[in-house]
Amino acid sequence: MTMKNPPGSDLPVADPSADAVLVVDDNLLNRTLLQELLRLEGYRVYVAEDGAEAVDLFSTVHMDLVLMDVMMPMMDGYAATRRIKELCAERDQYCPVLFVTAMTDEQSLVACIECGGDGFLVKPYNRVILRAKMRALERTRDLYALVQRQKQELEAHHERLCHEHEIAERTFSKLMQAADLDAPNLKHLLAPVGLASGDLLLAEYRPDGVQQILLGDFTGHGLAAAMGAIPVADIFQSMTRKGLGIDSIATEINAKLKAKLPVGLFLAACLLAIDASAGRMQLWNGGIPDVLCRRDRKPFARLKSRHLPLGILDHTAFDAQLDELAIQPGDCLYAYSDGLLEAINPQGEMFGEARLETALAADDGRPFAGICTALDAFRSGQSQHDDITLIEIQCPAPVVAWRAPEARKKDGALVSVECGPDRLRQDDTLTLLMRLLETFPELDAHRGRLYTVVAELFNNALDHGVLRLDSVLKRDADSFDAYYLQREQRLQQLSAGSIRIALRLTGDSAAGAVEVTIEDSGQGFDYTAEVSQLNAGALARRGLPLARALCSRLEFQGAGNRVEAVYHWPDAVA
Amino acid sequence: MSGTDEMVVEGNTRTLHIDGKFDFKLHRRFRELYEKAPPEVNTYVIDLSRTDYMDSSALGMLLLLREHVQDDRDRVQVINCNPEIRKILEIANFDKLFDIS
Repeated sequence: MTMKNPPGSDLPVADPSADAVLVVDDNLLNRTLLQELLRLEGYRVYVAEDGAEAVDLFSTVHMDLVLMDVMMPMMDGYAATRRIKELCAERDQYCPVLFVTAMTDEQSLVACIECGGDGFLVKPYNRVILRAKMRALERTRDLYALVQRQKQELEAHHERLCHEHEIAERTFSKLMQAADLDAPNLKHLLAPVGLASGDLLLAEYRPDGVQQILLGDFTGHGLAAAMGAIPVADIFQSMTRKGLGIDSIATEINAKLKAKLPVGLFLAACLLAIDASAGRMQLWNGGIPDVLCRRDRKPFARLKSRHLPLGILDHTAFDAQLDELAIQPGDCLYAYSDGLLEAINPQGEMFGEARLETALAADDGRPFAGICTALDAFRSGQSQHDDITLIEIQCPAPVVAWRAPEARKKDGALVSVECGPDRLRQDDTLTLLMRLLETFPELDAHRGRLYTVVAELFNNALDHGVLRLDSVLKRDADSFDAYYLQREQRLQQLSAGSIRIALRLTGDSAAGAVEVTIEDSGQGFDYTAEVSQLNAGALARRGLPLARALCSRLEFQGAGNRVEAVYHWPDAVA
Repeated sequence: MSGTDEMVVEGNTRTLHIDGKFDFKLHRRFRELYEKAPPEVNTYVIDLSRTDYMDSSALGMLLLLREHVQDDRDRVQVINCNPEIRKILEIANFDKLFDIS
């Protein structure tokens, strides 16, 4: 037999980094001739005597080029080439196969290409032509390798981009989850393009009961927007909880974005403060479309953007001047990002302000749903180009006499409010009370228990005092549902009745007390017969004993429609 | 403080995360947890890691769930309670009815 692979021991060992060529020919003379020729050209040369041997060798050794004869015993060159190309596909490799054949008929030559071959050279061949053909195939191979490498890089980049978008999306959803967007007077639509939005929607109550809302639209999407959204959400939330107004918040956000974000990244934003008690709404609008205001199903005002977006102007040039508007309970305000107006239909038309106003004018009592339906119908499946954000703010019933924390009096009185039917229907009184309590650091360790106490006493006054529901109803799963259904119905129909709540705070974080007084307009009940023992298994009448267990003193007074409770620390609960 | 909540099924366990307030507003959703669960589900986890406040109606809902699993203590877990929430569950003696962690 001839020299086997790799080149025989009598030959100088080829450079291991040189390209490997597989010569497949059943004719010893042809094989040796090619082998010698290629060795002199500096290739590492492997040889095979038929197609089967070639495939075996190819599957174990990495080849850069194959020179293939056609007619061979065992497996011919066509079949071997098909198999070799299959192996290449599995490995994501491109290895050119050049047929070297004595056959000259058209059909045989066409078959060389059809079985996957990359070219053919008809014997007898000229050395120079062989070299030239091989160079050409090597160029193709190198190009393939380059494309392959770039494709992998592109895939890696894409993967990273997706991952970053996911982070951005999670950041946004976390920020918005912390916001009070499910307040009973708000309805909102958030439709980001793809995963990550550039729109931000935040809502939060001030301790004095004023509700503040921020609708923002960052230049750009994804991580860049998420980066900016973090300080914006933090500032908005912490300043609102401290009772600061939207003018201060806009000033602060502007300064922070200007200082920390690169030029070109800014936030078009609209900040609203809904002060139901004062019958007044304030607005700062920098770069957000007109806020539409409706009363009794008719438009009565539109509030234009009068400012530059946040993060553009220097602190000294920034204008925090607010617009003000008198509002009444039931008024509806609509704020939205420009993505809503610029949503396009399959014909390429924009949704636009006219369509928005038409949707609002067709108000059937559910204008928010009307806009969403109109938008869906308009787009009819057309993909978005920009994030769409829309919020409806219904002006709530006024709260009486909320007191800001700085107005805390010498006697410790925090708040004294009377809730009539409208306010009770509003269903946010407990949230507002907790927001007030959250501003006192001395209550940090007690908030959960205080909530339970206030909620039990408030719900007791509402359910049994004002709404006159019978807790016997709460016997099993179905009646549990029925109870809450009846509660909802009676609350909707309520025309008279009220609950007065007063909270007093004394002491400090080491030792102190919160006194809760709640009085309702109901007829009271026989509190001497009240269940005093907590029965863990019973479905109903667990609330009062629970409140009692949390308080150092809990006392019903009068006809049973007034209750005084004291929660104190340390050792509020033994 | 958002009222949004989510349910996840893993194997035979369905988990409900409760965000913000655990109160009667959740009662419909809470009932769906076990009434609309896939057939393979037999164990329920109430994850309170994101719950800030609860009241006695939440206790009522937990009892309805307990009734659904026929008082089988192994089939309901209340997990990730903050100290305040835990205190309230203990005062109500719910640690005698549920595995609370």
